[in-house]
Amino acid sequence: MKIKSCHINGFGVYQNVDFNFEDLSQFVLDNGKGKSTLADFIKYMLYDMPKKDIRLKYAPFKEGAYGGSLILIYDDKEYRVEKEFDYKSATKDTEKVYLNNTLTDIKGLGNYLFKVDLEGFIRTIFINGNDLTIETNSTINSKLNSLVAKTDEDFDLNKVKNSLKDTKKLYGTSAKTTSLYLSAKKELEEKKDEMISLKNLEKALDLNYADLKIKEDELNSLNELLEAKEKENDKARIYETYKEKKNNILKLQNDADNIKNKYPKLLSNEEIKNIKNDINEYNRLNIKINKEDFNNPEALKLNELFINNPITEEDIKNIDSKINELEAKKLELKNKNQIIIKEEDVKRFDGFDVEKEIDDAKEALVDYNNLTDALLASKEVKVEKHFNLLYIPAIISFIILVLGIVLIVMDQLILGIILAIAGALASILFILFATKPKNKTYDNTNFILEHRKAEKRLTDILARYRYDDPDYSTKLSHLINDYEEYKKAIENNKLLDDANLKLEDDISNLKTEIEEFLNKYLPTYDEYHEALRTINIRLDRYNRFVNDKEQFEKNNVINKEKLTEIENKLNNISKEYNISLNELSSFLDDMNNDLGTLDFVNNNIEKNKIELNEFEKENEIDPNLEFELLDLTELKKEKEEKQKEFNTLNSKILDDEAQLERLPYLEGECVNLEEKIASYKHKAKIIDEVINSLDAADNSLKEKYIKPLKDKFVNYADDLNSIFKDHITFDKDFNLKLEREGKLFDDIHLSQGERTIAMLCYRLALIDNMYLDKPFIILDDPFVNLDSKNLNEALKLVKKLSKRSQIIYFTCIVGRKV
Amino acid sequence: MKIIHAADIHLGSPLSSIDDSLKREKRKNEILHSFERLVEYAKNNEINIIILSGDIFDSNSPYKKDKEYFYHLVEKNPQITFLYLKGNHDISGKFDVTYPNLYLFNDSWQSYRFDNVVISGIELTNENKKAIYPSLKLNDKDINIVMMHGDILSKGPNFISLKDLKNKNIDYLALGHIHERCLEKLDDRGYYAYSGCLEGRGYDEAGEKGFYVLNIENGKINPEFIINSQRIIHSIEIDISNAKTFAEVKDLIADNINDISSNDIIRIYLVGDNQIDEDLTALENYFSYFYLSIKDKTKRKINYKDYESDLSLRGEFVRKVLENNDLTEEEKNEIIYVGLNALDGEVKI
Repeated sequence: MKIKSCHINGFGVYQNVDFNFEDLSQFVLDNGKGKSTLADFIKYMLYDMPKKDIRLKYAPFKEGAYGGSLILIYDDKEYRVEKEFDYKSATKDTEKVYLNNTLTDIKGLGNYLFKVDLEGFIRTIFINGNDLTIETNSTINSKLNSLVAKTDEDFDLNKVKNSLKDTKKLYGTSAKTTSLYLSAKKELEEKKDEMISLKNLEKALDLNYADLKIKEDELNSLNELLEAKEKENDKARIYETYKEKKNNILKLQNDADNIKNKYPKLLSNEEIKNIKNDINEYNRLNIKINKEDFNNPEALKLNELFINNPITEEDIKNIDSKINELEAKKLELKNKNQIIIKEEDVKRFDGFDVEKEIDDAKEALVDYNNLTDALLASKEVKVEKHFNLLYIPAIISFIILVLGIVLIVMDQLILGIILAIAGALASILFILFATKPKNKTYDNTNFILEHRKAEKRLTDILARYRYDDPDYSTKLSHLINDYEEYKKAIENNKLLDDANLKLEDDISNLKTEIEEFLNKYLPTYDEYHEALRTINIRLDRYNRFVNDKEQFEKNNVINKEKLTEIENKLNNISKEYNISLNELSSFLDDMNNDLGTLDFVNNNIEKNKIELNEFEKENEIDPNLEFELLDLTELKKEKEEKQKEFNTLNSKILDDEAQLERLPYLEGECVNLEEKIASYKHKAKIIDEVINSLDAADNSLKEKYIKPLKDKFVNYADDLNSIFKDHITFDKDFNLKLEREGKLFDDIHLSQGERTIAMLCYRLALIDNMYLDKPFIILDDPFVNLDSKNLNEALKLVKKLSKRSQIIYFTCIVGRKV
Repeated sequence: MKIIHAADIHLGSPLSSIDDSLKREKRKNEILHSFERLVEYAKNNEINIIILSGDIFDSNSPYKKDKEYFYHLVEKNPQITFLYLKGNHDISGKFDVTYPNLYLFNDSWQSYRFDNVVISGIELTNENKKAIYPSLKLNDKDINIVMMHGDILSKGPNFISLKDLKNKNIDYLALGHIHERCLEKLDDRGYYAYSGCLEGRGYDEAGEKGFYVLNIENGKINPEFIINSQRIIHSIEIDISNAKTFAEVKDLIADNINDISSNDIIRIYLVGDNQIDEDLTALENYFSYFYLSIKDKTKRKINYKDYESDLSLRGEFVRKVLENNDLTEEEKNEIIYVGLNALDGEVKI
């Protein structure tokens, strides 16, 4: 690869200048005359100019275009790059790359051709005396690596390693990061703690089981003791019951004795019953003899009433039939109704000579009708029908009219019109006269006057009766009918009045008779039948009074004898018990009650004795023995407390067992976590191994391209061995080393001149290894630090190099020219 | 006559196969009540003898509540005779309560007669294991049921020698210890049988679980297996080597579990040369079963030969890992998988 030429439009000191380059192009220029400017122009035509200050540094001294063009020959192809630099930013630069004069889309020709970035370019092809760096960079390494194998030149191993390291952090043990490993470890520790506490619980459980057994035994002993004591108490309770039963019998016997001691002699129930009957009989007779009263007010009243007014059942029946008759007549009277005469008819007909008025009206109506007929006859018109002579001139006139029309038709207009008009007029006139009727009239004034008179008479009569009928004849007819009806009603009512008067008379008589009877026995009454029934009832009672009185007087003699007998008997009994006769009844009641109680007590005594006997047998009672009831409160309390303790421990055991169910799972979880932790450690180890293996592989690869690099370097160094005091080499990381007495030393021991030569050798070796097609080499005054001897050796090398690579050599001193 | 043969109830054992705590509690309850269901079955079918061939309890010192649960069922069903022989899990357990209908065994042969049926049993200890076989004497006129708890295959401390039990007039050897049921001929006369556990607890207890009902008629025992479990545990291995996408993995699982009842418990092991990077929980939640869990047992498939002649960093990396003798093959596999993915810009671990 060679630079053919360049044209500078404007770049630092250069303006519109062309440069052509040979295999060995040497530029000897004083400092500040553009030596480095040209070198940098070539550099920045191939790569982006990075910094603003550099852009300003190389801005044309005179105004004008900032940039130029550069032509390269590579692989028999001509590349031309044209660039115009912006004063501030690379992004505003314009760059065009032509391949064999054809514009391409290549951007950054340096990168495209050398496969290294600007830094890589400066560290290889562009050799500057001021920059002694011999390190490679990633692009150099890639380029070197790509020569060894087909690896992607964009590949960055550090990136890969960083990703792996980031992943390893997840599984790592570093406390600085939150890793899965650490959280699993923490979780495991927690679970192990939990397990320890559960295992302690498990150990304690055995003790608890033993304790529970002890408690259970104690509880059982207490239960047995309590049971035994309860049995003793049961026996004591039985004896207590036995004692109670015996006492009960004694108490009952005492009750019976008390009852017996209460009376000098106890009567039997039968005796008491008989005495009680005697007392009742005595009382009854006493009442009957002394208390029977026939002089009570009612009896006296009835006596007075019926003694003064004796009455029989016949009387009652008789009055009863009269009352019935009275009611029948009243009903009959009620049923005989008069015809009701309209008040209006009474007003019209009562007190008037209606019959005469009707006769006058009839006469007036005849007159009126006759006169009406006569009047109607006088008004008839008679029309006489006969032929009228006026029709003749009418026909003639019509003929004249026809004639006139004929003449008009025959064009005799004037005569025709005259005749036609005249004919027409005459025809009309004659026809009118011929058709007019002729009437006859009569004088009827007298009829009208008579008619009016007759009508007035009629209306005068009928006016008082106010009928709505349309004609006089109907009105009169209605009047006649109404009057006939009125007359009939008057007649009928008169007949009824007579019958009723008789009935009323009868009723009045009957009422008088009935009331006379009733008034004797009752001061007031509302209804006759009711009053009669009351009298009848009173009569019955009066009769019963009379009968009873008679019977009582008969019996009283016997009763008095009987009473005396009973009284004597009862007095004897009373004396025996030292009580009055009056107290005898209640005394006997008390005795009777006491007898009942005594009976009940005696029964109970017998029953209790049987029960006691059975109880003795059943419970094998020895009447001589006695038992005390024991107080078991304390023992029961002790048992309850023991039971409580047992229950508490039992619950605790069950709770602990429930908790311990988690233990096997916890163990499983710990195993899982340990597996997880082991897995994380394993993963971390795997990642470490991956990183180590990648590094080993990387180093191995480096070694592969370092060896040829070293070989080349040693070749170049050997050519210049007179310069170096020691054998120069470098390690796998491209660190320059001195080999002195079999040991490697850092390059700080190199002199500045040695370092320059070593750097040159190293870069030449790099170029040899990086590029099969050797590129041009720019040497920007690299040998400033060499003494003349070493300079000559170096210049020899440059000359030798120029035979296979284009050398563009810049120096400020002619003495350093090749 | 009918007799129930059951074993390995393991009251009080934990249930770690289900992570979901709610479902785990439900399942624990089902397991706890499995014995109750067995007793119910006996009551409903007028079976008055239940023989339990060991490991009723999961430990020598069972919890009070578990003991009370068992005692309660024994006490509540006096018409049923429970014959209980202790197993290796509860051999040292002491019965602190006695019931007239609970018959126990000890370390020497003990027999109980029920008409012409004689039920004998012995609890295995280190001391008696050699003497048990010659000391077993059974009358050939009786119907002889023998109860033991141990392993007929593995010659460990619980070993039972079938060979030494042959031709001893045994009609039915009622065994406990192995949780999977089996019924085989012992000799010309009798059978040996493991009833298995009543309910599967872990994924190593897959399949139908229950007990045997021994129908004894005309001097012969006819055993019939009765399924008692509420749910069946299924343990299924699915090779997903050929699945290219996650959806294909899902389809493969669906095809494999299609015929399983939704009430069952399923554990799926994904195997083969494949790599599942997606979240398995999402896959588990996709299926509607009482409980379904998926475990990834696939192996990462890396063809090292692809990198033999690769001069790039990849090839160099693979070579460097393979050269490292401090690493196991599995580790090398993992490192290469992670490293190659990292070089592709993605850290997968």
